[in-house]
Amino acid sequence: MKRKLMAIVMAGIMASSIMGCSSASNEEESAGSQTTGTQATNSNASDVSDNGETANETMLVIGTSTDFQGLQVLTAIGGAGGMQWTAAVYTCLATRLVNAGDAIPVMYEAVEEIDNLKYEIKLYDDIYDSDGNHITASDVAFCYNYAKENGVDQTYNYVEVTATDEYTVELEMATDAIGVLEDVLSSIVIVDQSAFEADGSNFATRTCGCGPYKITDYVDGAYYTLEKVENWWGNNHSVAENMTPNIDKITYQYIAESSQLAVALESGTIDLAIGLSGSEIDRFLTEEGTAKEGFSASHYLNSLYQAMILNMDYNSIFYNNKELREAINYAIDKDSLVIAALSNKGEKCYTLGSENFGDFQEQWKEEDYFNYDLAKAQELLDASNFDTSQTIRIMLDTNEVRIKEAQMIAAYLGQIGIKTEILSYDTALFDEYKLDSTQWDIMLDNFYSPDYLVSGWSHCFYYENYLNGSVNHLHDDILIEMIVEGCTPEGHTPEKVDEIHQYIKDTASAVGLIDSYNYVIGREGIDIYISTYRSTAFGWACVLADDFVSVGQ
Amino acid sequence: MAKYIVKRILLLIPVVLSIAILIFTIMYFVPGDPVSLALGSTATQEQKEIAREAMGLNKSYFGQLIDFLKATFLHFDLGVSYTNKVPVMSALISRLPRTLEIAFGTILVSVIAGIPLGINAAVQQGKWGDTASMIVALLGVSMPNFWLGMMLVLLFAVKLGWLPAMGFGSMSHLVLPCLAGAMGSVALLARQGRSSMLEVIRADYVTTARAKGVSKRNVIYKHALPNALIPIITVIGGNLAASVAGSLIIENVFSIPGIGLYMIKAINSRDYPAVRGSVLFVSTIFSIVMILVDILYAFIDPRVKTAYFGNKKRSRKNYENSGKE
Repeated sequence: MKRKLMAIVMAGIMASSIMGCSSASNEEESAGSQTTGTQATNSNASDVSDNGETANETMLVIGTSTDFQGLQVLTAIGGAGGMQWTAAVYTCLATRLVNAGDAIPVMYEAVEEIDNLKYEIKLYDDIYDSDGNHITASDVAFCYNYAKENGVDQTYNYVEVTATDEYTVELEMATDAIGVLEDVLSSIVIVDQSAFEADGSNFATRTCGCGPYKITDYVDGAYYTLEKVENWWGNNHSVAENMTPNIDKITYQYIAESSQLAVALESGTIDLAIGLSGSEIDRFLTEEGTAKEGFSASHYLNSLYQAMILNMDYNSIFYNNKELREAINYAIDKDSLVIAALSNKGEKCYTLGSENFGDFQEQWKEEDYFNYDLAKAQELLDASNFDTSQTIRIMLDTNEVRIKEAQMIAAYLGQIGIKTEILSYDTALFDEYKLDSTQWDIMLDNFYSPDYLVSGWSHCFYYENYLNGSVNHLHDDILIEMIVEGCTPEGHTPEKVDEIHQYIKDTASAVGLIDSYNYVIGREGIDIYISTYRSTAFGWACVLADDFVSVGQ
Repeated sequence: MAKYIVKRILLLIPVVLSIAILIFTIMYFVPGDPVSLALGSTATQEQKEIAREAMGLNKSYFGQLIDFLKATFLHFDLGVSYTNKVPVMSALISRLPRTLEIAFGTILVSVIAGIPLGINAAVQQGKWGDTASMIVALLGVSMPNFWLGMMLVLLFAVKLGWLPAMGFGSMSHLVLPCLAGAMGSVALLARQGRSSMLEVIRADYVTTARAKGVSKRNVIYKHALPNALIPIITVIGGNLAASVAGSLIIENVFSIPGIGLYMIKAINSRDYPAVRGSVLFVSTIFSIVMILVDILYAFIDPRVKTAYFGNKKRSRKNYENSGKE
C-alpha cells in the first residue's frame, strides 16, 4: 500500500513538475523583467495582442539563424552593427544606406571640418532615449571614448571625442583615409551616460537607446520583441529610409537550424526568414529564380567574402616560391566552388574583395583572375620544384561553407599531386592559430570592408592594423605604401586602386574565392528592405501590403 | 533512513567540489584566448591587458582557482558571462525550466513506452511479441535523434499541421521534442526491462504465486515487476540526469533555449564563467537525481531499506533480549 502510494506520488510530482515548468517559463524571472518574456511561445505570439493592441497595428515575425548574443551594446563586437535589431533600438550619429555610401545624419544637424583630422559636429537638441533621458554632447563623447577604451573594433580610426558645449562635439580622427569618417560616424551607438553607468551591466539585461524601437519582451536565445517608441524624437527630423519605423511591432526569433527556419516559414510560424542556407532557399524559388506563389524574395551579394590566404612568413613553403602560389591558385575552380559550397547562390570573386565595395572595377571581370587551368597549374607546380611528399595544411574554422571549400580545394590540389591536410578548429582556437604562422600553410577565412576595397586591403595588409604582421604574415613595404596612398582622398583614384589590385594579384598570396548571395524570403505582401551596408534585412523598414496580416496577429 | 539520506547529501559536497576544480583546470589549460575572442583580432595589446585584468585572467592558476571557489561556494556566484554580460546563475535558472520540461517529458514517454515493451518481451520470450518488441527497441536506439526530430517535424508540423515545429511554452510544443529524445531511452528501458523481468519471472516465489492460482496479470504486475524495478529505476535515473545535460541536439533542432545550447555556445566562445557554471549546475542536478534514485530504492525494495534501518531494530531487540536473559 505504501509502495503504491509512493509510486502515485512520484508520478504526480513528475507530471506536475512538467506542467509547473511549463507555466514557470511563462512567468517573469526575478533576474529582470526582460530576462524572460511574459509570453514565451513563438507560435502563440498573437497572445501578446491581449495587451490592448489595435486591429490596425502592423506586426512582423522574423526568423533568423543569427544568434542574438545578448543585449549588451557599447562593447559588443562590431559596436552598433553587431546584431540585426540593434540599428532599430540604438542610433549612431549617422547611418549609411550602402557600402561606400555617404553618412546620412541621424543625430546631428551638421559636420564641419576644422582640419583634415578634426571635425565639429552639432547635435540636435531634442534627442531622448526610450527612458526619456536627454542626450547631450557629453553623452556622445562618453560613448565614443568608452568604446575606444574597451577595444571595440575599428575604434583605432579615431583618437577621441570631446564635448565643446552642450550640443557640440569635436571628433579627432586618427587618419583621413577615405570612408573612415563615415564609418566612425555610423558605428558607435549613443546612449545616456548616467543611465549606462547606473545600469552597470552594459545594458545587458534591458535596452535604453535613442532608436525608434525598444525591446519590450525577450527570452535570451529565443526571441526579442521590438515595439515602437511613442513620440520618437526622430519623427521631428528627416529620417533615413533604413531608420523609418514602418512596423509597429517586430518579433525576432532565433532558429538555429536552417531547415527549421524554412519549415517555420512554410508552416506559417514566421513572416520573414533571414539566413536561409542555399539548399533551403530553393524551396521558395521557381526555376527562374523568382519567388514562388505566396512568397516574396530578395537577395543581395554579401559584403563578407571568402578568401584563401597563403602563409608568407619567412620560413613558410610559399615565401620564396611564386610558382607554387600560382599553381595552387590556378588549380582551384571557383565556379565549381560556387556550385558546391554555395549551392549556386553566389558569385566567384574577381579580386580580393566583394563586388559590393565602392571601388570595384567591372573590367576586372574580363581579366584572368586565376581562372581554373589544371594544365597550367601542373606546369607551375613542376617549375616550383616543390617537394610533393610534403603535406600542405589547410586551416579553417567550423563554418559549413568553408568546410566544403576546404574539401574541394583539397581535391583540386590532389589532382596536381599536392597532399593536403584539413585542420578545422572552433572559433576561439582558429582566431588564436591564425596569428601563429607555424600552424598553417593555407588559411580559409572571410573578410569584410565597411566601404571600399582599399579599406579591406588595408585591414589585411597594413601591419599596424593587424597584430603579428599582416593577415598572411607578409610585410611588404611597397604594398603598404600603395595602400596608404590609395586610402587617402587624393590617392583614391581608379588607377591607384587597379594598381593595388594588380600587385596583390601578382603576389598570388591572398585571393578572393567566392561571395555568397544572402536571401531573405518572406510571405507575400512584404516589400523587403535590405541594408547592404549591414548585410541584413531591416525588418522595421519593410513595407507591408495593406491586406497583409502577420502570423503573429 | 534519515541518517543515510543526510550522509548521501553530505557526500555531494566533495563531489561537486572535485568537479569544480576539475572543470576549472580543464578550462584553464584549453587553448584559445577568451580576451581575443571577446575583443576581436584588431584589439591592441594594451586593450587586451585591460580586459584581461577586468576579467581576472591576469592572476596565476591558483589565484584564479581560489577566487572561483570562493565566489561559487561561499557566495553562490557563478560569475558573469564574458559574451553577453548576464550573470551565469540567472541565465541558467531562466533556462532550467525548459530543459527540465524536455527531460521529464522524455523520461515520461520512455517509461510509458519502454517498460511495457520490456514486460511484453519478457512475458512472450521467444515468441513474435518478444521479437517485435526488440525490433522496435533496436530501431529506437539506431535512429539519430536529430534525424528523427526533423522527420517528426516534417510529418506532424509541415504535412499534417497538428503540432508546432519548434519553440516552447505549451504542452503541444513538448510533444515532438520529447518523442524525438525518448526513442533511445525507450530502447534502453525495453531491453533492461526485458532482462530484469526474465530474471524475476523464473524466481521461486513467482512459481509459487502461479501455483496458487494468482492471475497472470497479478503475477506480472504485483509479484514480478516490483522486484524487477531496481535496475530499471537506475536506468531511468541515469537517463533523466543525462537528458538534463544532453538535450543539446533536441534544443538545437527545436529552437528551445535550454541549458544544453547555452553550454555549447559558451564552450565555443571560451566563456569561462558560463562553461564552469553550466557544468557545475548540471553535475549538481545529476548528483541530486542519483541521490533521489538511491532513496527511491529503499522505498521500493525492502531489502535495501532493511540494510540501513532494519538491522538497528534487530540489534536493539537482541540487546533487550540478552538483558532479560
